[in-house]
Amino acid sequence: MLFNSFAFALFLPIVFVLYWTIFSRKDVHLRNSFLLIASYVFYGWWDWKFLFLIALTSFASWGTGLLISKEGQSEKRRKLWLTLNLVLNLGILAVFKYFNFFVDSFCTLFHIQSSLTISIILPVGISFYTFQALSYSIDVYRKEIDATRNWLQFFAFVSFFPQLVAGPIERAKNLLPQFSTIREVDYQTFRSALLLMAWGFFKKIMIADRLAVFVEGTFDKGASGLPMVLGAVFFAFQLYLDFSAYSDIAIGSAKLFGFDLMTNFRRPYLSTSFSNFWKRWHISLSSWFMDYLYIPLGGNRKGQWRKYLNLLIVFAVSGLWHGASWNFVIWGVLNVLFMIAIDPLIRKWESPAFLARSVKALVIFVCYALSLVFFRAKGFDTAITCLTNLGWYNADTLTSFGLNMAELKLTAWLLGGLLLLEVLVERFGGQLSAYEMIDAIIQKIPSLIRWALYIALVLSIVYFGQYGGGNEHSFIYFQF
Amino acid sequence: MANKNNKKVQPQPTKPKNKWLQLGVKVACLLGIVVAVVAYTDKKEYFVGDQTNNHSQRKWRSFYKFIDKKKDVDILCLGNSHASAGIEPYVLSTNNNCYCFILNTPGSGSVDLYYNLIEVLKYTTPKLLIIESSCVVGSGTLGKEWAKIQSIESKRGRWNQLTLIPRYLPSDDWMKAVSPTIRNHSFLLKDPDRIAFNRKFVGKEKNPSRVPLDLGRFSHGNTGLSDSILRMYDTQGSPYTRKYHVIEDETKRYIHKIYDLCQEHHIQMLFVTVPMYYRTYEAYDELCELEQEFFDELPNARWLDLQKDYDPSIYTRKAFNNEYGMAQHNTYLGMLINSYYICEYIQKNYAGVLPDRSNDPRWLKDMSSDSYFQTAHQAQDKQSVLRAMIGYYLTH
Repeated sequence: MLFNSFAFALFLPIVFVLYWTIFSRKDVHLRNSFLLIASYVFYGWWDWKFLFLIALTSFASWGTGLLISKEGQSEKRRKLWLTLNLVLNLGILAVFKYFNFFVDSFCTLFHIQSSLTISIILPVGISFYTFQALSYSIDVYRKEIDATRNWLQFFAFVSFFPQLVAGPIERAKNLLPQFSTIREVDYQTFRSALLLMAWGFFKKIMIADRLAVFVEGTFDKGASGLPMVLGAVFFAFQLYLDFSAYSDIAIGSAKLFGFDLMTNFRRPYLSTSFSNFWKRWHISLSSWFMDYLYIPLGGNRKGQWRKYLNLLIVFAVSGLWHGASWNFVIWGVLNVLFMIAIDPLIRKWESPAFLARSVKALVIFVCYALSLVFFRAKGFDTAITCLTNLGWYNADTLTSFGLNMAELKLTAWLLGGLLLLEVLVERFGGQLSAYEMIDAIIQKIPSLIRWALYIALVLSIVYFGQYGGGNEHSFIYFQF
Repeated sequence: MANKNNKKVQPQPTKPKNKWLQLGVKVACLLGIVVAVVAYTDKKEYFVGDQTNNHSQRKWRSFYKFIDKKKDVDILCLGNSHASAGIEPYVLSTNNNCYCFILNTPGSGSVDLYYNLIEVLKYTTPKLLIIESSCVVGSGTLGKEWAKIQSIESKRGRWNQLTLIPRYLPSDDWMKAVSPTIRNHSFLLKDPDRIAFNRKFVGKEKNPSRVPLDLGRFSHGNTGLSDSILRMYDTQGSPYTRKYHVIEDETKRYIHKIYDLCQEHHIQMLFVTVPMYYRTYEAYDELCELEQEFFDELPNARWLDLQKDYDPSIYTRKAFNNEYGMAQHNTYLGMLINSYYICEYIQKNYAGVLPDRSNDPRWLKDMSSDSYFQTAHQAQDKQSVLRAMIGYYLTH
């Protein structure tokens, strides 16, 4: 079920009302049972057969947690249980996501003709819930959290529908305890959750999906010159807005049920270094790799060259996590190279001035946007063609890629407004997000104007949104 | 001892506001305002699309007008654009002394056929149902989204329309079907002229009927196949390739439902295949077998295949519209030829099924007041039409 679908527009209010009226009064088991069923309906709406897969992943990780934490277990035995769980979960992921990719790559490398590839559908969100389940068993193994004996609680944690298919990838220590308590939620939380969801829909339907039309036009039709430059820039914004919108809607939906999810984006395009960028972009995944791969590999504790190697491994794996294609690996590796080559140069220019920070942010953005060409293009050759097609000519063909001048102007205004807002939040908002700052300002204005703004926000989505007539776009990260 | 006068009045604990009610009322108000604004622009029809070529709407309007005059449809033709471009209802009406109506939806398919028949049955029970077979065979025979929406909007009664939406469309398209504003809001940026045009015509009919009694004919072009189009068959091959040789399960299901309805209401069922230029098909014989296999599942239905082994001396290149593609239509000439074949088939196989209205003054008036030459916009080509008709009678 997509967040921007009619089915979800019916599903959410029904689940919300049932949850707060019948299932969440006193009994936490009843509440968790209901959430589990709702989450399975949400996931099964797409294809019910894959519910067995998510149940298997949940059962394996829950069981592993119990076995690892069993008293009197030797370290060797504990490690064995963890390894078995890793093999099972990563094995499922490998079969469903990477089998054909590895077979193809192997055959290409050794010039072998093979018909071993299998026709298989990639289960939606498999990378997300697998990583979430894995983090639990690793944390139990590391004794950072206690294993839960309550299977219902754990199954509900793995399949919690707001963040099931595209994150944020939650850690058990943050989310799991929330399934063991009944929480009272006040009016302000509901209001704030709805506003956050509306903000997410605004970003998705008003900006990201409109950018998607132009991006499709330029990348798929082989644009050259300025349209290709704009296509690459637009894709960088599309990816950010699409995914952060999903995260906002997920966090807002979870709030409606009394759950707090972690922040996933913190104004990444205002980063002044690549290392800073990865602390702001897809935070739940970056921190997952940091905790469960980079640090176990030695992190930066084993010298400069080992640090670079570790980074290379982490980013290559992270690229592969996104999709079974060498393009994603190249995207990951490029980002490490940028981090190694550009960060030291940027660090030398120590100036807190606005101009200096802006130039640094621009450099980071341009490099990242260039790397995203590999992320977006279908195949290595296409990516290279797109990069060689970048230039300042063909300005007169800008309107040949799905958006007319009026739409391009509106998109530019919206992007400009959003960037300005992010700059203001960065400057004055401290740790607040753009949405939180808007919320804080909105709360201070008279109710009549506040209401006018709410209505304007919804009406602007209805009248100026990019939807209908085959313009619906799924969230990009659903494919991962 | 506390002084009575100084005794403080304990504040009564205020009843906490009902957060549910507060939230519910506010959300309802917000949604109510938004829905009201959208409903307003819907009512004013600012966002309706181009209505000048809305065949479905025109035909259904004509049908309801016809029914309101207490008249009955005797032969009902259902199908997609091939039905209205391939069958001349006036010929079927005048040759069989009855009323023939085409209620097709261009671009639509089997779902639409079924619900169109249900809608017709609310008002009248035809004696013979003709289904043009191109919406049975091929992929996408469940119909295009826009065609389905046009068909829904053409039906009488808002509640009737709303109940049809979930039957025609997946849930994600419901809002588009309910509201032209939701469907066509992109006009604001993409086609502001359309909105300006619509604003000028607020409250006025944008698609008036062209004739007093529209029986549903719409012919495409009249020039026939040109040399340049014919050359495309040499260079590009037959456009209707074997990959379109399918009958979708959903289509089969709906055709079976139609068949059951016909059995229930004692309606005779006839499938008609109107011909396309013979080189359109890569392997028509194979397609024929597939269709025959399916039609055999419907024992009381007949099939008149005008495509197979058609006579090229009658169906000359002038009988086919000047277009290359898997959906090629007939010209008015082709339509007339088809219609006379169909009439002959009806007279042979359905004798006594249809009523004889030749003495009904209303029928006589309807048929004489609206000659097909007069209303066909292909009337420039009268000569070739006459030649074809004379040719048909000479050979039969």
